[in-house]
Amino acid sequence: MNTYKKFFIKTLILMLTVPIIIAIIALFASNYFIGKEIIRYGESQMVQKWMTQKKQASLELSKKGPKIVILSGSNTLYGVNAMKIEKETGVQTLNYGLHAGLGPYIFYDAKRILKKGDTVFIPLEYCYYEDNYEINNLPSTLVEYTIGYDNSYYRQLPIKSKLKILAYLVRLDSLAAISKTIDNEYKLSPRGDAIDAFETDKKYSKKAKPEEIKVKKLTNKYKKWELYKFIQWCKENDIKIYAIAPNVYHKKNISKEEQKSFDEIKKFYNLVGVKFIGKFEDGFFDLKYIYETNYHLNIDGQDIRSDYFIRKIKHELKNNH
Amino acid sequence: MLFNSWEYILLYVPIVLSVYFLLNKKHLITASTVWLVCASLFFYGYLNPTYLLPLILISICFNFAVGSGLNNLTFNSKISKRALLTFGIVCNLALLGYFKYMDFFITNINGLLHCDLSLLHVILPLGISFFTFTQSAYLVDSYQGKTKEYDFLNYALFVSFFPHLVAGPIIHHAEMMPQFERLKNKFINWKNLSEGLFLFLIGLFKKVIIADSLAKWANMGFDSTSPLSCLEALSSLLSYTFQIYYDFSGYTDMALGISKMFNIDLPQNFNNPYKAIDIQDFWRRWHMTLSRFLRDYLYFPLGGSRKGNVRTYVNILIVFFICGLWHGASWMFIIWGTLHGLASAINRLWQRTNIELPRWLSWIITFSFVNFAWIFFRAKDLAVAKNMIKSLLGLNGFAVPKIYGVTIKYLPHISNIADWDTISLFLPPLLILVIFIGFFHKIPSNLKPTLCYSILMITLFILSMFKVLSPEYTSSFIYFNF
Repeated sequence: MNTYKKFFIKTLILMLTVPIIIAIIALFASNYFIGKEIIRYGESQMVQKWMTQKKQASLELSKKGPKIVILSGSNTLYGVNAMKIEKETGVQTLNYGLHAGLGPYIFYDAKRILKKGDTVFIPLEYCYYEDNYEINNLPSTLVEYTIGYDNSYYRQLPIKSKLKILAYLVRLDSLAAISKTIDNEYKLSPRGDAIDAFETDKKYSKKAKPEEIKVKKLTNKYKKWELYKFIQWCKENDIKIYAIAPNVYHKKNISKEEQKSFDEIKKFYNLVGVKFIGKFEDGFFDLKYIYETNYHLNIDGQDIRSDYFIRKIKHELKNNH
Repeated sequence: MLFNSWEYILLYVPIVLSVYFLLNKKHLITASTVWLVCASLFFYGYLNPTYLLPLILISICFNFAVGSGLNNLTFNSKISKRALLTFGIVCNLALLGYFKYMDFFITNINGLLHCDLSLLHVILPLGISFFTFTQSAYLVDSYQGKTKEYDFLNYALFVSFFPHLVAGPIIHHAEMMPQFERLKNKFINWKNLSEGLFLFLIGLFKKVIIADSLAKWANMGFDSTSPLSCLEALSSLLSYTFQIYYDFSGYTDMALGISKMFNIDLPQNFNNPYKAIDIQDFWRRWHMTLSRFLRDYLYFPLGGSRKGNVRTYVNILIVFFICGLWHGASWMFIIWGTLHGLASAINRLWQRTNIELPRWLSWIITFSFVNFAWIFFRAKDLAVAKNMIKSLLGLNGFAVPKIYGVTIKYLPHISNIADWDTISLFLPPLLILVIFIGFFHKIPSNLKPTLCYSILMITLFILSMFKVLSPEYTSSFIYFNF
């Protein structure tokens, strides 16, 4: 029996110490292979292509002067025609819609392209308010993107997040995602707009259901959100920031539950002193304007949405003068 | 609380185990039992205490009272004792019926009578099918005088003991109560502790690494909106076949392992079921405690095979119909159960011919049938099942998934790799692993306190915990739904 006692205690101690040693070694080694384009997951390859193109566009615009940046997930990528907005408003505009699955990363990344005097519109997808992203909140798209392409983002993460990312690497199902298909190679305009989403996808429209919006009640924890920190950073760096509703497939009427959610979002922006432009309903679109997911507009939808932006931007410019 | 959550593995089990043995070491035997009951109730009510705790507490108290009544009270006539048993069983079934089958019943009434009765949307309480069956068996045995007078605390522990509470194995009072009462079992046993931990880690590995990985491919096929090719459907179906086995047997190993650490032996639930060479053999190897319950408390009382051939076949069909229904309130489960019933009846008929098939052929027929039947178990409706069968028959083509390497910078870059191609990459080695691990359940009893076993245990722990702690990992057990 004594042998088993020794065996059990020894095994238990090793079970606790070995993972710690492995974690320390992995944390050290990971700085040299995470985000260095060594392991590339399918979807993140696409995101990287967008990102590179949009950053290049941003660099060129910044050389010329202040710009408008429309920042969010892919609802902006498909929903906004920055070329048209620029033409109509006379202010250089960049579509910085990426992928809502990147979660808090879009705020980190936006800091790289925003300059003093710029204006940023944030038509964030509702998941940004549902999940209230904090630094340790890591959606899988973000994990995959970080592993593939952003070493500096990885390095600044807290240890807990780094460990989560490393744990993701050894998941068998994550290996499957490495070789995932890039279904479409979307074409982007020089201002970062998706320009080939012509008509509603039939497969999608057969099963499409309007989005149901549900946001948690606002608590004091909002100061930990990356969105809050981003807003503060914008203010400190003389960057104007406006909140606006995202474009989404939605029925016209709003349920009580949804109204509560909208009130919570507005409450947040009031607390942090950010102007919310327009109404949530302004972002609601009928199925005929949707491309292939609830947040992606087709070309007709994009046109309507861009006109809306033009009106709102012109109005804000007039007010500021 | 889930067996595969870090809270359970790193906090709950160590705390419950330490306090339990500490109290016993100080000879606070009753306090240790109270502690274990409370810890089990905490485990059960972790997610929704106000909903779940009253339910299980009422069920325990009610069944204990009825069981004691059946044991102790001297009834003047046999009929009144029978009435008490009937009352007890009806109440248990009513509880199960309300929580599990009410909405299913209303949906069917609406469909049949073209009316519009509103659904109750009752949330299925965890483990209700398991603790209802366990306690119904206790009532039947009390009626038959097979139980003795149990202590309430031990009875409450028997029902609520957390390792088996939410997904079995379905335990029997006769094998469990003596273990709870035995004083020797109250003290730490290092051999059991080691073997229990080993078994738990094997179960964790089976669930987290094998079952959860296979789930991705099973879901990809069964939830697919586009038609699958024959090989895609076959890969998906095989993935589900092994997913459900490793999910449930992984859970059972974890339950058995943790229980063993408390010096309590739970009954085995699996014995390499996919090695079965006929359908009766399959049911002697798959969810063995459910088969035992259905045999002892349904098949035998119905007359078993003692009332002639026709009645035997009818009894088999009834048992499997109930077996299907027990798994869930859906026609798909009923179809699955009935298919197994028909197969058992055919198997019985075949046995009467005295023709013996080669062993390998029997295995192929049995395994193919079991796979086929899982389609109905997994598909959410008949349309999905029909599509899957169509795909398996090759009516949607036979496209072979391409085998490609992993897209890593230093390997040749290959773009446009479909998700299904990854199946061809990972499924064969995974299935080999899966078959190999099928023999694992024999190892814990052979555990040697050597460095090799230590290393094996640490490896299982690290691999599983890596996955448990990775982002967005949430995975419940399939049998939690039943």
